[in-house]
Amino acid sequence: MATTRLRSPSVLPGFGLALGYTLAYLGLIVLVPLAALALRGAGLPFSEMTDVFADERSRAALGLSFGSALIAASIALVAGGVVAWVLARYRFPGRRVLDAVVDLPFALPTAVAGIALASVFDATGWLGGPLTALGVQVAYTQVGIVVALVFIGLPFVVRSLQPVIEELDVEVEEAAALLGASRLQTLLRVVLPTLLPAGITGFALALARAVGEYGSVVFIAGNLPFRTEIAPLLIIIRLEEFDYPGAMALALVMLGISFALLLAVNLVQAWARRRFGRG
Amino acid sequence: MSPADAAADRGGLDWGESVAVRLEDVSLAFGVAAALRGVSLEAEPGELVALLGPSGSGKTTLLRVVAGLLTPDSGRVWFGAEDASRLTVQQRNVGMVFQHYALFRHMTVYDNIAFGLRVRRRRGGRTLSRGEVDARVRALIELVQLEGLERRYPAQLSGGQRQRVGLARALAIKPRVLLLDEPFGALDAKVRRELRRGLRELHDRTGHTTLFVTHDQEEALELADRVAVMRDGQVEQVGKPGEVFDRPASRFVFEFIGESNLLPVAVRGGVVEWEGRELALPRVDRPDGPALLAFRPQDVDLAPEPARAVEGVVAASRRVGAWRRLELEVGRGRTRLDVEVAGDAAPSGQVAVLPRAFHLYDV
Amino acid sequence: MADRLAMPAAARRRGSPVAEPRGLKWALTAVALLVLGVLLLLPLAVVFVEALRGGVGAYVASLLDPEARAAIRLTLLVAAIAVPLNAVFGVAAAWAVAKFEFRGKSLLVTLIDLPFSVSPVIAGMVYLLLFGAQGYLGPFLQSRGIQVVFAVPGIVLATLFVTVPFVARELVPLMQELGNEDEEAALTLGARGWQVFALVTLPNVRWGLLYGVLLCNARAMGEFGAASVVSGHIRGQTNTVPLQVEVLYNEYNWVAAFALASLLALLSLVTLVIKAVLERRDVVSKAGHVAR
Repeated sequence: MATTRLRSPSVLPGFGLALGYTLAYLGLIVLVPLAALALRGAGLPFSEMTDVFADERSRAALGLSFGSALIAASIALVAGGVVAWVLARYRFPGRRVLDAVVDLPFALPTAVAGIALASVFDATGWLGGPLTALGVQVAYTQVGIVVALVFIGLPFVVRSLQPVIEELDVEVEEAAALLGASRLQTLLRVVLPTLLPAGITGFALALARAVGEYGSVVFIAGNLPFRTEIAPLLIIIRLEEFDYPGAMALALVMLGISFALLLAVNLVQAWARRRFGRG
Repeated sequence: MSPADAAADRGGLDWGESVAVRLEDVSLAFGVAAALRGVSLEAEPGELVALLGPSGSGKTTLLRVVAGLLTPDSGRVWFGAEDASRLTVQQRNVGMVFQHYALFRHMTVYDNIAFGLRVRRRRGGRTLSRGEVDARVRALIELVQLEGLERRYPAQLSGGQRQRVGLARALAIKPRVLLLDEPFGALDAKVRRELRRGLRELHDRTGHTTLFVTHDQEEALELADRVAVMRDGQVEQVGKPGEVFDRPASRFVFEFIGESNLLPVAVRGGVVEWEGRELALPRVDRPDGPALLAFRPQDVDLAPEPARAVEGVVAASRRVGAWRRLELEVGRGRTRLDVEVAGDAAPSGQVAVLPRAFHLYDV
Repeated sequence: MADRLAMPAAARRRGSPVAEPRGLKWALTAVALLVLGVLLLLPLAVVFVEALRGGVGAYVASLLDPEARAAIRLTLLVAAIAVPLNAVFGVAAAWAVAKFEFRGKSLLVTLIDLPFSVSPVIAGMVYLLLFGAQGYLGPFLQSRGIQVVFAVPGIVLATLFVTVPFVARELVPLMQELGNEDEEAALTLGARGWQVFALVTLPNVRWGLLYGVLLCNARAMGEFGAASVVSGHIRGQTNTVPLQVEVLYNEYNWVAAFALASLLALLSLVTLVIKAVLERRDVVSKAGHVAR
């Protein structure tokens, strides 16, 4: 068979069947629809794409989505880092339960998370009430969007960092202390660099998820055009208006920026892996 | 000799003042398991002391207590005249090389060695200029023979090279005590022997008070000024290598160090009897009763008088270099003995042997 | 002086004097608890509190409402189709990827992960582009009278798309870790292809498979973004539970919205509990479902 050159010979049966089914299924469910997007996108006049940037509303939506995602991923990185450290290093009653809770945003449907967060943070909400009294408005502002995105990004950061922290060699920290480093110096110079690759991975995952997030955000966002309207929502609006070219253009621009962003992060990640060891 | 002269004497580099290390009745338990039981030990300034013992004997625990990584339940540690319990780990100025080196993976060899100097510089200890740090690091790299590897990362080094980085890193801070935890444990036999020699030379040059942990008795005997044999959290015997080898204080020490034979005997009126017969051995000052006759294979001769010797059958015989190794089955109990005789002798069948040097221990 | 908050590393070490000062440990722990409590637990609690705000009677009534029942039926139907299909795919893909070496393997893995990295709204959109009235197949389907988008088939397809990777992502690393030895041994003992698979491979991966199916199911039942694009929001017909929740919420019908939401929340809690149990058995790693 021609496949023997394309794959290492193996005694196990079923390769052809498994691969064939996999490719067929994948092709049908994933690739063909995406190809449709690509084809239609290719057929778009270039002006449609530039219009996306020219249109103030689209610009605002893209800026909001990407800006909020970057802010949220950064906050998630710090908060998630603390959570990961505490879960990995300290022992206290209820630690196991909290460890399981970290996965909640991953398991909870986005719409449920969306209405729950909106409820908690709106002007009469459990947290929104006190905060509004203090003059801080969360719901229907970018703050709310960022909060929702931190919610869904947190598990990615925690689960990326936790195994690496657990595997840290305590002796290395002891060696640093014996050499005279204070705890702070040890954490900054010895521990943090080792955690950097995993941290970047977590950041990238949270970022990627946050950029395209819809369900968790639409309820708390307020969805005012130019102000609190995220890009995925604008795509839906355009689709509902049957402005398919407009929706596609926006979607393609979104994909393009995401791709570029993640490529940049991947490069940073590769550098960090080389410099600081495996993530 | 002034410190400066002494420094010049040691190859132009000041290694810091070495102090005596003293453990005073140190005890430590992990939950119910006692790791150290009232251990007292002293190392003179500049002395190289080996902590020797099987796993679980407490030797690594002892080392970590000296380093300050563990706090004893009772007892004290002294560095010279200073009570170490007042000092944090950072303040102790103890250099330690871990069994798996614990090098900073993300730093080059140079940065690893410079680490102790840089962190102290920032904390306002002794303020070293960049130039001074550089000079010291380079001198250390030269000392451990790692020239040319400064920019490498630990992952790119061999085991022996990593160990030397660990050493240089520990020496950089001018420790008053050097602690080595199974320094050759992670290396293969050939590298181990070379490094052993290197360590001894290094010690002679730098003169640090050194405690090193090992389970390899050959290593301990070869390297150390004094050996402390440990077992179950206690020190069984401390002494020069020759002492510990020739005059083991207990059966455990005897068996642990060097090869051993143990033969059940009885003492009657100062005479050693084996299976009812009197052995042609010197009289012993020991109360009557059963005992164990302990002797090394190398301390055995073929006996001229079989009736007053240990008789048995040769079970196996092989030539080892210039000697011959015999495995004997002796007596009713068919005890096995290892015996070394001259290479050209080739006894077989029935033989009679007698140790020329021996110890007697309680059963 | 010795730190009593023991470190997990070596069992022999008691609290290491090299760790953070007591005060900082408590502070960090407090921050972590605050983050998890406020950001994660509070919203979860709100769902149940709001759902029961009108009392148990109102809660049950919301769930028995015909529209709610239709939404639940639709969600169950979608999951019943999507999950088995993707489970079979996951097993096949894992078999191909984990047991064999071939050119283009990493490309295949990237492709399998693709739906993961696409925004759900865009995922829905691509089906609209394919099957919608203005889509490629639009005229063809219209002439046949087949309705895909704004109807149940569209929702099924969009959900399929979004949940494709879940089972595969659990099984691939698991099967890679298990290696080929068991299967090869079975072959030498004379077992044939399907026997090897059914009697050796499947039992070995059963817990990973269960977990992957659970995640796939949770996502299939909870899918919102993609379904939103494709569904048409026709009450009683093309609203899944998440879509119905949105409708109710936008109508300020809090109790009903949260009542339905609580069903999904319970499902996610069950998923978490099962995950914790599987973790105890060392079957699933904490980071097992995070993209590599």
